[in-house]
Amino acid sequence: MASPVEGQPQVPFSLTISPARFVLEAGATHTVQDFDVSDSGLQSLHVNVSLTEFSQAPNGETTFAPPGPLSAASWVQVEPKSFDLDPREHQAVRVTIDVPPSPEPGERQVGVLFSVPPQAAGENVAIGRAIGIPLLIGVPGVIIHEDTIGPLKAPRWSDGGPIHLELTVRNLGNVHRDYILPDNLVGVARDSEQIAFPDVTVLRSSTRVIEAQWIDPPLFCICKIRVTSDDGKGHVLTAEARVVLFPLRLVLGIVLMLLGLVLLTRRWRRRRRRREAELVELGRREGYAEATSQPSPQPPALGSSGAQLADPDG
Amino acid sequence: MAQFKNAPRIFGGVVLLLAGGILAASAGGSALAASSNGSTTARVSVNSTITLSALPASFTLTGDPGATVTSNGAVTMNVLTNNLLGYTVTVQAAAATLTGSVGNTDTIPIASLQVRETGGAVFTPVSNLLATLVHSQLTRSGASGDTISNDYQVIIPFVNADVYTVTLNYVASTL
Repeated sequence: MASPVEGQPQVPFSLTISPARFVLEAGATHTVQDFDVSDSGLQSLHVNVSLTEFSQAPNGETTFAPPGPLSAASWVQVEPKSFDLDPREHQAVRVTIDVPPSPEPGERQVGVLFSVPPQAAGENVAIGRAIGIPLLIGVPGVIIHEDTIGPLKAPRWSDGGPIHLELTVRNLGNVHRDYILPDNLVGVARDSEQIAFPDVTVLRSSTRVIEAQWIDPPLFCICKIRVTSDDGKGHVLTAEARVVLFPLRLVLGIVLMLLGLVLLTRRWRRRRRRREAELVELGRREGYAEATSQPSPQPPALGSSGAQLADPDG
Repeated sequence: MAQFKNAPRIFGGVVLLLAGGILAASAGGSALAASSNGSTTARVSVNSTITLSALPASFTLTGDPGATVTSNGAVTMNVLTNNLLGYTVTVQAAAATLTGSVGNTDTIPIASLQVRETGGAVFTPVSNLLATLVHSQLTRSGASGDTISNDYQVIIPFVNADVYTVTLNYVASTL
């Protein structure tokens, strides 16, 4: 049903979907979920709804691909599959999931793609625009949780922060695992400082590489960074990395400054000595000049004590 | 013996007493609630949403045969989502070649068209078989969405003068 969209940006194209993801817990055999699709822009839109499979790359990239013959997309029906939206209108799209009686245990990943086909605009590269919504469908049966973490990668040496960390997380089980606050992965440095990794979902049989930054490490340290988690079966897992922190640039800078200071001091002292020597020399010259320019004093009268003072060398 | 004979009556009496007490307490409770300053818990349920907006319908790259033409910021868009796990944006071509008008048999391979996220160092060839990641983040967007910009570059082969077209499909998705 169409109804106005409030509080959206006023741009020609804007497509909004809610909810942004849907997780069906294992056990339900028939589930209905409505997705609200709205035209939050100024242009009318034609929207096609299709089902896909999707996979996850280590960097989090989600790739949607047409479903294969054994895909769980065949368990899912969407209605309507195509519709028009005027600006500020909503359309409910009903997604019905029917899990077959005895499926292979484990989770299934199905994507619902809401796509707006490209419009002929007279330019040479047309753009199709779409939003993909992941459906994670739990299936009754044996659930296998098996996760690993590591390696934790960090630079062996750093001369300051922030320090970039990369942690590999593998899900070998048959259901996804959420590492979401407060259960997100946290690195502990120097036994006390916490480095939080971002929230992440690792799909079944997938690997993710997640990154974090140690923003404010100490100046000098041989630091051990440790991430602790569990393997999904209650066993503790630990991934560690060691970083040597030495502020080489800072130390080099200080050494250079000290060297410069020593050189400047020595030069200043030399100049000072030279100047003193020059002054002494000048004084001598002036004294000599004065001495040579003045008329020679009259020889003192015999018996005067001043004769001894005027010419001590005698 | 007299005590044991009366046990069922005593038990029944206790049950009635308790039931009556509970009934009275519940009745009294509602009466008290009606006359006192009661509190109400307000619960606001916020849906997770994703909005893709401001993505243009098309763009053009123009140049001579043999030239490498670059258009920085050729495609910009805005993604708004409160999904805590973030989102990705990918682009994939709908065909293996850029094709000209009817009667022109020359084509430009899709790999000649390259993309990078603005600010990135390296252009990546666009593919019709694999999606190319142009933005990824593990956190929700800003309150007014994130502006994402893509640069495009095309290496134009020696082909007839014409307008060669292709469709690129952008997909924003959460996880």
